[in-house]
Amino acid sequence: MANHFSPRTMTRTRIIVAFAAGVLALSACGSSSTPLSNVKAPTATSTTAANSSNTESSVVSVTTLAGASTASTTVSAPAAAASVTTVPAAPAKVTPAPVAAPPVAAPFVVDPALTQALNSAKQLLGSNTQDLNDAAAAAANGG
Amino acid sequence: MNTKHNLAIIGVGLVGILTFAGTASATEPAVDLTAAKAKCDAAVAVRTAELAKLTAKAAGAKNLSSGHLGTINDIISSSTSGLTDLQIKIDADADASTLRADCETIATGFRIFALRAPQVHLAIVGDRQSAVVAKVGDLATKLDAAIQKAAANGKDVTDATAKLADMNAKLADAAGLLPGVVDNELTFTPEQWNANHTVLSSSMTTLHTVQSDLANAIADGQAIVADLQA
Repeated sequence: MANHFSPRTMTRTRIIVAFAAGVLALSACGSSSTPLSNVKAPTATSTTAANSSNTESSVVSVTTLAGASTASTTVSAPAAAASVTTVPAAPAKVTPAPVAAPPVAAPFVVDPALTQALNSAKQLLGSNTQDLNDAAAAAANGG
Repeated sequence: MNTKHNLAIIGVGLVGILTFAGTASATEPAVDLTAAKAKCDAAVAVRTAELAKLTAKAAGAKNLSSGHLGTINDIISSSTSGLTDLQIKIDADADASTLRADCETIATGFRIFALRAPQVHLAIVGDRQSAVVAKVGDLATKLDAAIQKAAANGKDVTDATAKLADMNAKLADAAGLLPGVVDNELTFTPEQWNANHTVLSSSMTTLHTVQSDLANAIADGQAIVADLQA
């Protein structure tokens, strides 16, 4: 098949295509939602796309436009900066020194015979009441 | 003449009055001696019965000392025999005035109710109190030992110790008042009572005080036991 394009035309086409590619590439960069200034340099371990799962903070997706040599990197939100919250140390719980419990005296049992003897003495003394009353009554009787 | 006449009238009048008075005395109604003697006999009988009761009372009084029992038996015996003799005399009395005097002697000569019965009762009371003093004194010693033991076990014996001190004070008061009270009150005679109706008052008051002391001492003892076991 005959080549309908002249070398000059071919050259002109190449330039146009190259230009167009450049425009597209620039356009792609400009539409990135993430400003380049916010792009965080991937860590050494994150240079490989979809690397190990424990590098979630620096997954780098590389989109390569067809034929484009410029890579557009979309970096996911950086891992939350380490927020160092200083939690005040809980005050030391002061445990009061154990107070010695007063000695509990064992129930004291008085000899039951003692109680019985007291009751007996009371009863004996109580029988005097009648005699004292009789003495007073007889004295009042006269004769 | 008139004067002589007047004197004669007065003289006749006086003689008449004297004569009338003499007649009135002679015609005083005769006392019914039999009825009077019956009343006197009844008075003797009620006293003899009282003496028998007192004899039994004294014999049954466990704490009455043998010395006091002997004194009481002597009093009762002499009173009984005296009343028996008096009753014989009364039954033989032939005139009212003698009968009246003898019948009054049933009371004044023996004073069974006013003196003898109280003497016996007070002697029993006093000797019983002496027994209680000894008994409660022994208990106070045992309570003291119990308090010491409780203190050694960690018991607070402050109250018990105070009560024991009061108990011992009451016992000491009673023990100090008792000696001689019964001996003394048993010495009083009917003649002394006739002269002074309050001869027994002092003894009776003392025995009432001792009775109160001992009741309080026993109450202290019971409170000590309660404290120690609380």
